[in-house]
Amino acid sequence: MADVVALLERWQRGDKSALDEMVPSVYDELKRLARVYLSRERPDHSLQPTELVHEAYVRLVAQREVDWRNRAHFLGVAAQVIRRILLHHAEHRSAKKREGYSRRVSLDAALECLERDATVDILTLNAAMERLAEMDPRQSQIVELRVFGGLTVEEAAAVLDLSATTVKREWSVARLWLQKELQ
Amino acid sequence: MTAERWSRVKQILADALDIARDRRASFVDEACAGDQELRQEVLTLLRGDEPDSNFLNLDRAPQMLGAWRVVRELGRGGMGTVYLADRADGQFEQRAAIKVNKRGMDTDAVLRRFYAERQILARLQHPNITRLLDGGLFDGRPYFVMEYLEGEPILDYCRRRALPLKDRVNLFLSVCDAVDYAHRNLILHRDLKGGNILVDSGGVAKLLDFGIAKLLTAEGAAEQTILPVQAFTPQAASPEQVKGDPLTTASDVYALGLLLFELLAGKPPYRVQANLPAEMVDIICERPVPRPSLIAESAYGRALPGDLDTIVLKALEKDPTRRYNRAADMADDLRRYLDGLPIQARPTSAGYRLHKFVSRHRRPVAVAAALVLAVTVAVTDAVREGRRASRRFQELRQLAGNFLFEFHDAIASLPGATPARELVEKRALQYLDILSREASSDLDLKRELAEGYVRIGAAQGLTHESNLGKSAEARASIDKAIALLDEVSRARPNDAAVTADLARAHLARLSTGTKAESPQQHLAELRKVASMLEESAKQRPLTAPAHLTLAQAYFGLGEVLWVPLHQDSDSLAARLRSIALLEDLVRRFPQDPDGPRWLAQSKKRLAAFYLTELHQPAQAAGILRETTQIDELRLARDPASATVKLDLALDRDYLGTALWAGGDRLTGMQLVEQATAERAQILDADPHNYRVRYLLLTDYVKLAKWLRQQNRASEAHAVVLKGLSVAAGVDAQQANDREAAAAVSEIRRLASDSRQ
Repeated sequence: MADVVALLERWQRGDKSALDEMVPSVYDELKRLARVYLSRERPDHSLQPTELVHEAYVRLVAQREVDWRNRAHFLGVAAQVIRRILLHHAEHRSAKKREGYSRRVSLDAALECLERDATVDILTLNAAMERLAEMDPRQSQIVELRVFGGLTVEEAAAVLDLSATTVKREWSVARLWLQKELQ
Repeated sequence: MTAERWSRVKQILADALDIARDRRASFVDEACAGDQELRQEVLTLLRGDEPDSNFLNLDRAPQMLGAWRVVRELGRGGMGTVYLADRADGQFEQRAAIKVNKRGMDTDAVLRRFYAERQILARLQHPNITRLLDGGLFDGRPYFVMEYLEGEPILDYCRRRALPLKDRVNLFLSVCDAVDYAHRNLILHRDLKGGNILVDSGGVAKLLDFGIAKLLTAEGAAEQTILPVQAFTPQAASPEQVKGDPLTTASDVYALGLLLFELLAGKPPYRVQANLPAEMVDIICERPVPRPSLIAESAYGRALPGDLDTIVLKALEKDPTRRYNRAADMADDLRRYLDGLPIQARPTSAGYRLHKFVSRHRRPVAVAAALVLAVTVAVTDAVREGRRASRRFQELRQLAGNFLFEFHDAIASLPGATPARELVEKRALQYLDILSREASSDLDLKRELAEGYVRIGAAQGLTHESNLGKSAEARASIDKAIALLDEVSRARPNDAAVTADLARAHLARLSTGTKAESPQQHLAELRKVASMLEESAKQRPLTAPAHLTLAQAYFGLGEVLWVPLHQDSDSLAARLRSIALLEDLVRRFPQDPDGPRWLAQSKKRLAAFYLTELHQPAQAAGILRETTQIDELRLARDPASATVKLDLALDRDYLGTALWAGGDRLTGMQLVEQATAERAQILDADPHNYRVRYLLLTDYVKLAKWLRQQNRASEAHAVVLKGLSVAAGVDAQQANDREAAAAVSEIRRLASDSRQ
């Protein structure tokens, strides 16, 4: 597995490609965690994306005592990954429905857990976020960090190098816009 | 919608969200200035803003926390939010206050501590302590479920009911019992204050919020915590808390003293403001506390019996060892007072007060304490609140770093500065340790911290600096620097600046005087440092500090090859190389004050070599007249510097010795006497300066021997007596230094000779 901390450090120094290199590690870890969660067979355990991401973070990075800013960056990356995983899963499932295909692999079941707890439909939300990104890429990024990464306003502000006030303002406006779009 | 259009819409929408609901419509009308389409867009979106909308509501309060159903928010603070909750599993009816830690408080270390403390707190079962009922994690964040109490803060309760004196004391006694119970369970409260003690409708006082409570170690001092500079309420802080000293049960006693003071006098003994740290330090750590009866507001307060004054003042002693040791002792004295028995506490004697008055006027220490406290507290607050990335934090960090070290360097060469330096050293170390834990991926911060550790190490005990005589501590600091730099160097293997830092740190490590390495290891290390820098110099010219480090490495080689290893010709070669490098440094960087200093030092050692190995006193004296000139120029530039004065004393010492050896005994003796007088003066101004004490001892040894050679026995005896009194000032710490110990035994031997 690539050293996530080293990649984060490269990313912070401005090496954009580090982010892409990081995604597979984070993706693998998230998938692995999802399986572990499932195998625990705890019906009462509702799997939250935030929880997954935080645990992946602790496993991949936190043992190395990475500083707070790095943590926010990691959560930012994980947010992208979670969004991809959820999206992929949702598209896959709707395709299968059309084909009348119903076998499920264990990973899919884990992801379904993720989705069941979401208050909105992933595919619709994603489409709306893409429309938002065309009008206002920064807002779309904020939504991604907050919804898929579980980042607080302050953490998102650190990732994007904005003030918390700005992020809060952008977030509340974007939330209203998405709400209208999804109605 | 186009990006431009959306940008208009969101401006107005965001502004509208910031104002009261009933004024939004008119605001939007005005802001859209007749653009109906824009107005319609904004209003449609604005209609979606319902206070309890669940759509993507990420900031909603938890509904359930374990078996508890959240009823409403009770309050918010720096560490988290407190909710009122009901037991939801229907087993029995119970209300609770639940404190949920803020996001960012969920690091591994915090979680581990949370679990440890939860277990201990759960054990505390006392009628005057709110019970910890439960605890767990919500969204990765720890929460504590505490017994919920409807009551009134103790001071309000007493004031509103105009409680008589005896009842107040009794109420306070129950608080003492609770604190003592916690102490016996090895827990310090650390934030005892009126607001943390509620009295319920039945008149029972209960202690809340063991949130920053701390486990005691077996020795009775609070264990080292995650952040060495602790959160505290300035108004309720003890002197040791302000100074960053370890907290003990006596610290909680101080807080109890403050509480009793206010219960009796109706107001606190003093008011402090966190934004005036100099004043805060002065008030809490220096200024005497008035007697409660003297400043009481109420008539009965002014009529307080002297015994109560005495008890309160004993609890509020500045020196923790002069307070009641335990809350129980304070309670015992209060009970004796209630029973009409004589109390144990004695009013502070006039002699002690005078002593305090004298020590209060050591201003440099107090000023240093105040300033250093101000910056480090600001930075650690920023760290604690997780604002590491913010610009404000970066500014503070710079301020603190520069301040601590510039302040230290500014006072380092002033005579008498040692206590202030000790304080700066302690604070600076705390500061560096905190930031090191935060620095895991920030390479620049790591370099900066390593630099800080090396400077602290130099202050603690580099043998060629005037130092605090703490060789082992110096070594530990420098080891931390090396560990940090090794990490940076792995990430940036070709960075010349990092190599230079690393070389400097290794060299500093060898100069700690711990003699942990054998001379051969020492030699190998020095060669490694020299070759690192020689390699680096091939890539590009060295910077001034790197150049100096290289010269110092050769200086060190000259020393280690000479005295322990006796490879004299190699030693001489290294010495000449260091002199050549330093002459080059002085040429390349004429403004750098270290160049002339080290050039003079190297030449002095060369002169010593000429004198003792080559037996050429005239050559040596010639070199030493040169170095005297260099140092006299330095003194003219910096007349207050104790460092330069010491260097000049060394010139005279060496020159005198060379002249004596060359036969000019009169001038030789005069020069050494002059050096001795100068050093004695410096030691007098700065009695904690270990380096000077050692040099002075060697002066007296030398003078006594010379005087004896000239059969001037009574003069020799007088010198030995002076030497003995200097030796008496060698403390246990310095006695570990081999050279210092040798000088002490030498002077003692001379003393026993002259008695015989």
